[in-house]
Amino acid sequence: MAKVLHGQNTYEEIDSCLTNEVFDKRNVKLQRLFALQGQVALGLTGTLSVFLTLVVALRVCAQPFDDGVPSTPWAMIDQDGLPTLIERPSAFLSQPDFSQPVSQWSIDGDFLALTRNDELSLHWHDGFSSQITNFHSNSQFGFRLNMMRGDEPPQERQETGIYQGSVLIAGDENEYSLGIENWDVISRLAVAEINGGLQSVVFDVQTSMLAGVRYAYVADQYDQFQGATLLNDDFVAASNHAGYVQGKLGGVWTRGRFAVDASLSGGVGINSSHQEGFELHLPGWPRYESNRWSITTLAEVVATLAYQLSDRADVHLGCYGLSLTEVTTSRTGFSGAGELDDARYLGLMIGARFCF
Amino acid sequence: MTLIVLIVTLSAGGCHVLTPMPIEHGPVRAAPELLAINNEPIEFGRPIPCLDTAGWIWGIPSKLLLWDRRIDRHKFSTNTIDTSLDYIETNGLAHVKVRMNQYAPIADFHRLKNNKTIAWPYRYTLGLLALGGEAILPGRLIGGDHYNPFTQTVHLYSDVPAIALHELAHAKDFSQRERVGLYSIAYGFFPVWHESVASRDVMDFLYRRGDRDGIIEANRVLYPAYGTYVGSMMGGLAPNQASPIYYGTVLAGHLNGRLLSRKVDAHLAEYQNALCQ
Repeated sequence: MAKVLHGQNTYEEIDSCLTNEVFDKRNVKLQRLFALQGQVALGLTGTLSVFLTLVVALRVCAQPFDDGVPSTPWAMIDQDGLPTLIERPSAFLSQPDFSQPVSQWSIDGDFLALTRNDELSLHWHDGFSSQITNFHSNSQFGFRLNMMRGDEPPQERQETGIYQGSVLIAGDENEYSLGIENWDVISRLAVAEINGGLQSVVFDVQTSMLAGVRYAYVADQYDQFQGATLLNDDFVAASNHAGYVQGKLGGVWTRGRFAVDASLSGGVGINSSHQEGFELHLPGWPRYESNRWSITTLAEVVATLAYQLSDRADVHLGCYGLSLTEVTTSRTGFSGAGELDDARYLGLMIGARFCF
Repeated sequence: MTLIVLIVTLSAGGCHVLTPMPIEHGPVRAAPELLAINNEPIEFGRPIPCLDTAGWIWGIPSKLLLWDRRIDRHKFSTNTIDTSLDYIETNGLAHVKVRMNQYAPIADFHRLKNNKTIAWPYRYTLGLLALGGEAILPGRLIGGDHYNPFTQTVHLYSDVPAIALHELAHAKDFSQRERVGLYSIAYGFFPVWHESVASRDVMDFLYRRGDRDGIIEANRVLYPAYGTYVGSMMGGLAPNQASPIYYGTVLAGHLNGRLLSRKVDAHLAEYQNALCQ
């Protein structure tokens, strides 16, 4: 089993090297339970935040836009098949232009479904034939909360202050079988940013230019099981703590009830990375640990198409992209301390915004 | 692809991305030593027909990309020269040198030495690197209009007033910054910011002057040029699709610029009315 993967070593040899890292079934279950609790907590928090945002948005939407706007005649077919003009609230016909938000605060809650460039092909032998298993963490789910505050409602051709902050959390966990072995491949992403700058409205286009800081945490680990026994917690593990200074350009283009909201961020920073695992190409598989500092850059694109429910709420659908360079991954450190690589996330987001 | 679709959708009606906004960070900061040696705001390179022809040929990809035969033309019309002088005068950029198809690394080294608004550690590291790049890769052959903040020099090879204004707007932007060295480094990591600031200032300059033809030209050239920066950045998110993304954003820029120009009179009237209020 797994001859290529394990080289000349037998399981007995592995066990003798790693005696302290073998846990009984109960510990494994407890660990999984804690991990599961974390996942559930994350999921619940995200679900709750987006749900609350949606509820508030829908409640606000149910209110008339503007009582002062005259009502509009609406034709209905009566029982005799003749059209009859009735009065109907104008809110859903007038299609007001929401190019300028009336409020200073806004909060967005979004679900994210992202793909990540993370895949490792393992070649192994099951005693009869060669097998290939692809470890990946390329379908990440999470949520993003984004909050903005303007010094005052933006006015035509005047630059006013704007502040923005967001938190993004996403993750993925997959299980793979290699003969009698099971592997858990876990990936985590957490990003927090805070920015300040200026916004302006010209030709009904709201643009913003912000500068700020961002923290990014990227981690992944491969855990090795045999049956229900955890052979190696963190067979290979990698984590990155990166801090960035960044610029962010944003724009909002509105047509009736629809708006395209896009932003582009770029920055540079320092990453403190940690990678640990086994030197599989050395006899006895000694454990390695690698700590590195590196200069890292980031690029982020967020683009959404929003449908305005009211002057205070919208729902939106869009795409999200994030690229972080010079980060360490478990993939590159599987058989020994590996090179730094890029972590790229790209996917869809759906959520709602509430202004207050 | 989704992004491209979004951009194209946006472009369907033409949307203002480079909205007019003047650069007003503060007073222009110029080193007296630099002002003292800047007798002529614009200098021209001596025509060398074979070199200029080679440069024109080298610039064909850029001509195609921005769809303008005046890119890397290595010759200049009075329109480009007059527009540049007008911008320099309007914005008080007496310390800025415009080199039109001129190769002068030694003179630029003197400018680097005298540009004391930038701290010497920046000038003699990044500044020397930038100057070295200009000396080793001469724009007279390979083209590439650009602004060097360390020497406060605009290097022009294209006979397009909008591009001349854009490079001069970079000069205006950097001249109003207190931390020019850091701002220069930031360009290396997020150039879209600087490009956006410069192009928006050009739009404001043209709208204020009521220069209808200038606006149409700026829409036609600056939007695809901006698309090259946006496309380069977005390509980093999906390296396998970097080329389609890059050319997609450039095409979107072409489309958007041309659609905007169809409504130029309405936009001009709207902007000038807003200025009067």
